[in-house]
Formats: sequence, structure tokens, C-alpha cells
Amino acid sequence: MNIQKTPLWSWLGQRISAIIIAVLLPIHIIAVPFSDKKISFSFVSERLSHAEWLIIDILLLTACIYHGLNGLYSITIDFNPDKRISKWILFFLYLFGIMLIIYGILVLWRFIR
Amino acid sequence: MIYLRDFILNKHPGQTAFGLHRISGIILIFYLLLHIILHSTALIFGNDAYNNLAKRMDNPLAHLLELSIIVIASFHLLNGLRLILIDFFLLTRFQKGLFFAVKFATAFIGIYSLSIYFERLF
Repeated sequence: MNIQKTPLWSWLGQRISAIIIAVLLPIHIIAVPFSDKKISFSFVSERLSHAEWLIIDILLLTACIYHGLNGLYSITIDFNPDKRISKWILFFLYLFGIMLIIYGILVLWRFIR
Repeated sequence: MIYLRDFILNKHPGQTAFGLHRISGIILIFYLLLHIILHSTALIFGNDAYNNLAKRMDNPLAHLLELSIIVIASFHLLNGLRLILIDFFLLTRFQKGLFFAVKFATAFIGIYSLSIYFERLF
């Protein structure tokens, strides 16, 4: 049987994005759900009007989507699909991920005007 | 179902860690999608719709889901740090002890978040 392996860049990218998330996600959780303010448009846009918060959120969004979809891809590799099928899975995950990142940045952009 | 057989045959805590890491990862992907979709109401339906939704999400059930996502994410994060430590610092020999530390720290973070969420839940 021709056993597939996840390539090295996938493994390394998963670790790099994991370290980015491990630093930024605690900041996000302490600043938003752990604050006693209620979520509203003005609360979010006040926070995102600071450039450093916007950069943190865009970086966290990109890293989370990459990490999540790359993890999903390595789960499908564990079930050892046909090489052609796994290429298509990778293509659609990339397409979905890029669309999701653009959509997420548009959503964040909406809060800063 | 050959993949589930490993969970019965292999009693090593690493197998449990693998299973929990995978399940929590899948849950977190769905949460990330939900998170983006819910916040995009501001983009699609405008500020008032966003504020309305935020008000409606301010109920005990939604806060319970939020709390469980925090616990799941902290487990996934800490176990991921354990994997990075094992991979880069060759700590395979200590993986059982590290997994115990992960469970302990997750429980600690869970109790701390519960103390913050207590008044929103009841």
C-alpha cells in the first residue's frame, strides 16, 4: 500500500502558526470575554480603533484559519485517501481558507469606520 | 472503524491525548466558523442587527458554550505546547508527566474562567 505522509512544510507551518496562536489567543481571551464589558458595536470598534489590536486580530485570524484547515488536511491524510483526491482536498481547503481570511478581514474592517 | 481500535488496544496516555487533541481541534474549527459568521452580521445587516444579536447572545446558555470553548481551547493550546516541547526538545521520555501537567493546568484555567463566568451563568 502506498502510504501518504504530510509534507515537512505542513508540519513546520502547523508549529509556527501554533506558536503565534499560543501567544495571541490568551491576549484575545483576557481582553474580550474576560473583561466585564458587554459586547456591542461600540465596544468592538473602540478596541479595533487601536492599530495594535487590529494587527493582533488580523494575525490571529490568519494563523487560526491556516492552523485549523491545515489540521483538517492532516486528519484526511490519516485516512490515506487516493493521491488525486487528497490534492483536490488541499486545493479546496486553500480556496476556502483564502476566501475565509478575506471575508474575516472585511468583517474586521467594518468595525473601524 | 479500524481507527477506533487503537483507542481500545493502546492504553498509553499519549493515545488519549491524541484523541482529545483531534476532537478538540475539530470542535474549534467549527467554533471559528461560527465566530466569523456571527460577527459578520455587522458587515451584512448593519450595526443595529449586530447590537441586537449581541443582546440576544447574552444569556446563560450562550455563556456556558463560551466557557466550554475557552476550556477546550486551553486544553488544545496546552497539549499543543506539549507536542512542540516533545518535538523540538526531544522530551518523549517525559510525555506522560507533561500530559498530567496539561490536564492539571486545563483544570486550573477551567476553574479560573468559571469564577469569572459565574455571575453570567446564574
